[in-house]
Amino acid sequence: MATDNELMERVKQGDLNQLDAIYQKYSRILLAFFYRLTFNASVSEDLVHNVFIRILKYRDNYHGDGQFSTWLFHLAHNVRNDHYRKNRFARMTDNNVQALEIADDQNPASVFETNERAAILKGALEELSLEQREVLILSRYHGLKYREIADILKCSENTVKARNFRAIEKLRHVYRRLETSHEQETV
Amino acid sequence: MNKKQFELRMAEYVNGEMPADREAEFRDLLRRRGLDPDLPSEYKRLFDGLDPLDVPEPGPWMDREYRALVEEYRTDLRRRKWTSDGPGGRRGLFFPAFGRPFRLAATLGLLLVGALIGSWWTSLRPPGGRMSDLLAEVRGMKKTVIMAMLNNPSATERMKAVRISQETEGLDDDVIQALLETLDYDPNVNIRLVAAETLAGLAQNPAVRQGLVVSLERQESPLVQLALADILLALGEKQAVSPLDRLLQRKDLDYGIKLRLEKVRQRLI
Repeated sequence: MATDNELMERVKQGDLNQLDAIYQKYSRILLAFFYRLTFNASVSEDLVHNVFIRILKYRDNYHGDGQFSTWLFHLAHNVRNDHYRKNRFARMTDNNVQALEIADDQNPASVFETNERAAILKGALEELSLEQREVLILSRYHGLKYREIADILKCSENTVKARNFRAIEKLRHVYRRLETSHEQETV
Repeated sequence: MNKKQFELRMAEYVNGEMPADREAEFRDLLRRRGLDPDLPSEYKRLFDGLDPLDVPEPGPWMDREYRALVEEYRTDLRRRKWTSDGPGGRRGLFFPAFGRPFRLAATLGLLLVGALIGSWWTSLRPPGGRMSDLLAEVRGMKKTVIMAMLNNPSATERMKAVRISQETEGLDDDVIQALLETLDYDPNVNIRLVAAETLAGLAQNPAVRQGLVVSLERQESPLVQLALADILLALGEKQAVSPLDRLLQRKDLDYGIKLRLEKVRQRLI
């Protein structure tokens, strides 16, 4: 099975069919990345497309040194930047909790609690700066190390560490405040 | 250990990047500074315990749009190869031996002939009509260029055409119709967004307003749906209410988009 670097080299040489394998592997990963930044499913799908447009546009710039995923997430980071700069229409998040879907074998109380926690976390994440949220998502949800995140964001490793710490610190405070006010509302 | 070092060590710990021997040293340092040695574990519990934030499954059009954008890129590549100077290119085919210098000389020659003809022609016209003729000619040339570029397989060229239209005054019905078709049918969502903005600036034209209303239901992209809804709200276009009602009935409509469209509808009625 070809590695990601090998697939991308073939795309660079003009075999665009190889991009399909990259799309199959990474489209949902990128979708998750954008969704956790924007909380908007439709906008996230559009941003995934923008990443693949850039892969095609900049394929000649691909050198194959380092991990392909680092290059890919760097493109995603730039797409995110451009999106927030240009698209005033898309600066929205899906702030409303979706209708609960409870399967027959599920405990309604635990489903409700899960949705409550998700709603609290979304509220807390929205209070982070975009840079802090991005670092938190890449480390916590994509399991990346700080060295790789620094390569993606083109900043120092210490900057990445500082952003992640401050994100967690802020979450800690905001989480407590939201939980407290949420408990008061439900009493 | 200062505050910055504390932050960096904590960040390393929560992300599992602190070796075990340094962890013991770190906790000991916290203890000696009067801080809770269990603080790193508390932060890590919060970090690890963050809700997974389930991601919704993508809609059916995500994969379709991907295939469309790859196909468009292929078409653009073929077009660029055809118009290139190299092997297989049209220019290379017709002027294999002469290349750039010949083409430059031919272009300059044609310009000179055109200038001479133009000079003779204008000498036959009364002075007052020359400026308006010239302006009409420029407008006509611009129209030809815009129409050609809007039909270009390259998304870059089509985007340029829409931007040129934004900056051009006195667009005629043909160009407006072409822009409305671009809004409805261009496969590139960014081009459709810019077309919507361009047409918003022409909304004093009843045909444009009607076209914007009709386009609302034709769009699959939520970004364009929202852009059109906002434009029609800014115009106070009550004809948009019925298409909005039909759009809101769609089962595949994103929940967040639905809420936003409902608000627009409420403000229009």
